[in-house]
Amino acid sequence: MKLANLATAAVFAAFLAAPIGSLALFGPHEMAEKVVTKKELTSAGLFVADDEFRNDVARRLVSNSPVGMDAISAKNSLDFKVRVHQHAPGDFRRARVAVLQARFPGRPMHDGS
Amino acid sequence: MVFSDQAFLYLYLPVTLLLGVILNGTRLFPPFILLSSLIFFYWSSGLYVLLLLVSIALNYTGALAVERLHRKSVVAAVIGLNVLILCYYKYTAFLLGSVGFFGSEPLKAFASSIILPIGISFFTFQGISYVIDVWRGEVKAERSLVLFAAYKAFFPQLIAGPIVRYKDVEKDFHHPQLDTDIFAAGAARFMVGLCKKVLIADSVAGVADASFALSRADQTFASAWLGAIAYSIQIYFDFSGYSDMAIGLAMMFGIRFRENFNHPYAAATITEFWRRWHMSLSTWFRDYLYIPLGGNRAGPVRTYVNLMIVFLATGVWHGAAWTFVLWGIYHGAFLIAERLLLGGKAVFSQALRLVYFFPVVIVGWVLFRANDMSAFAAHVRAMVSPLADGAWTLPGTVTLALSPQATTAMLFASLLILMQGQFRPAGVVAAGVSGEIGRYARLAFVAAAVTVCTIYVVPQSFSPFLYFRF
Repeated sequence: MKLANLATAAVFAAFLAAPIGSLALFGPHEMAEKVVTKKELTSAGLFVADDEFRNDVARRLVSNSPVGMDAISAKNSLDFKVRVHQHAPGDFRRARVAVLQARFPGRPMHDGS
Repeated sequence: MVFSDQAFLYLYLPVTLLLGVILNGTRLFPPFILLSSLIFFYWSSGLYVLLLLVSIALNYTGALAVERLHRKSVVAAVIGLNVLILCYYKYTAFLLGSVGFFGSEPLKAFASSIILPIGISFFTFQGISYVIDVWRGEVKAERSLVLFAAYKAFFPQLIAGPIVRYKDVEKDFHHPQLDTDIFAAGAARFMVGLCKKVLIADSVAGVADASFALSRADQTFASAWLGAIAYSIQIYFDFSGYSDMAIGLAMMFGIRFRENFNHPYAAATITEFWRRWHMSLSTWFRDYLYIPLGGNRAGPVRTYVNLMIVFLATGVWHGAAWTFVLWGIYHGAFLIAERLLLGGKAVFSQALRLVYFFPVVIVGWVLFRANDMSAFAAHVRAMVSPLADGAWTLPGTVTLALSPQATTAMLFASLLILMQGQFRPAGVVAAGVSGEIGRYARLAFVAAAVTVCTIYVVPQSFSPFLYFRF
């Protein structure tokens, strides 16, 4: 057995074992990503005015699932729907302008009326 | 689950590798390989593992029947069933969609409910080659179902190739050869592939994605070329990286695969490119389609027809879309033109490489990457419009994607590609060395690579290999 080969195998093994070893020794870090559960994806919390929960779910979907950047589009779409529903039907156009202004600050918007 | 996933690297691989090394050479090795590979496939594709088992059963019994009966009709039936399974999953929606689903909504719903199983093109072709090799008497039909299933399901090559032929690995599956030198070389080769994937392919992917996502009005000459070049870099480093990882993984289990890439961008002609790119696929088509069709033995016209059939099949193999069909025809047309003009002679000229080969290959990749024909036409239109208004500007999303990391990766990769054929990167050299100094060089490379890759892999988001969808 060659020493260099054993050392190479040991380095490679350390590479594979390091994260699990770290987890075993130090436990999960509070900042570690949490997998988005089905319960969260169907939760009514996604439709409340405060977007903190939507942001959290979208961030975790982006970084830890095959959904990737589509999560951001879904989050934007939910934002739009939530804000529209907050207003009376007659206020729909103003709500749309509010969303557009939030997305493109500085650009003049009109409500189409 | 892909090879650069955290779940694969830090959970599946350590356990599988440890048990694989312990059981190597024992009677438990084939059942262990089979079980671990089925777990891998189930993790990636869920209940489609049943389809893999059907494919194993079909080719195992089919090959035994072919050997015993030695009838052409039996071979044709086994190949036909393999092709039928592939066509059902891969081409039903495309074929029905091409005729507008005959105007039937239920037919449309049926077609869109079919989900393409990962790696089906690879394991189907693997099965077909095995049955044909048995028919030709090049290999004996494997009696042990477990050993054959272990070969067919062996996880390093299962979902994105290379297309490993049974005759190439039969000896290794019966008597795997593993020592510390082979294991260390396998680890180094795996790290070469991981570096290609996470340091280069993933770094430039954002630039290609941003460019190809632009609307026709926003696409400029600069962004179109940048996106096309970025994708040409991405697909090579992604796919050859995957092949390196597959070859390295197999080595660590004592199994030797053939090479799948040989500096494809060092070529100066499309003919030479196809001798170097995805060699397990191009040699598969050569041995099981081109030569049976008559190859170049029946006159020039028949040769050109055969070439076009092979490249049409190559295009269709890559995907069920008109862009892939035309990509195959496009390459076939250049191959025929080169035969007419160069007489099939090998030509190595830097000038030819720069002014002919790279533009042709890059435009080909645009066709390969484009969502549809009109997107391809718009992209190419931008590529040939250097004098249009704002042609040399980059839209905001492309500028954003062109981060310092992406720029560095693109420049580094371009340098490596331009020097292909004259120079080999240290890591690639280190992976295949022999001699005492070479072994320490390999150790140094692996130590450096694991450090860098850990930094990149741990915080990464999901990034599948491009060839998984084929």
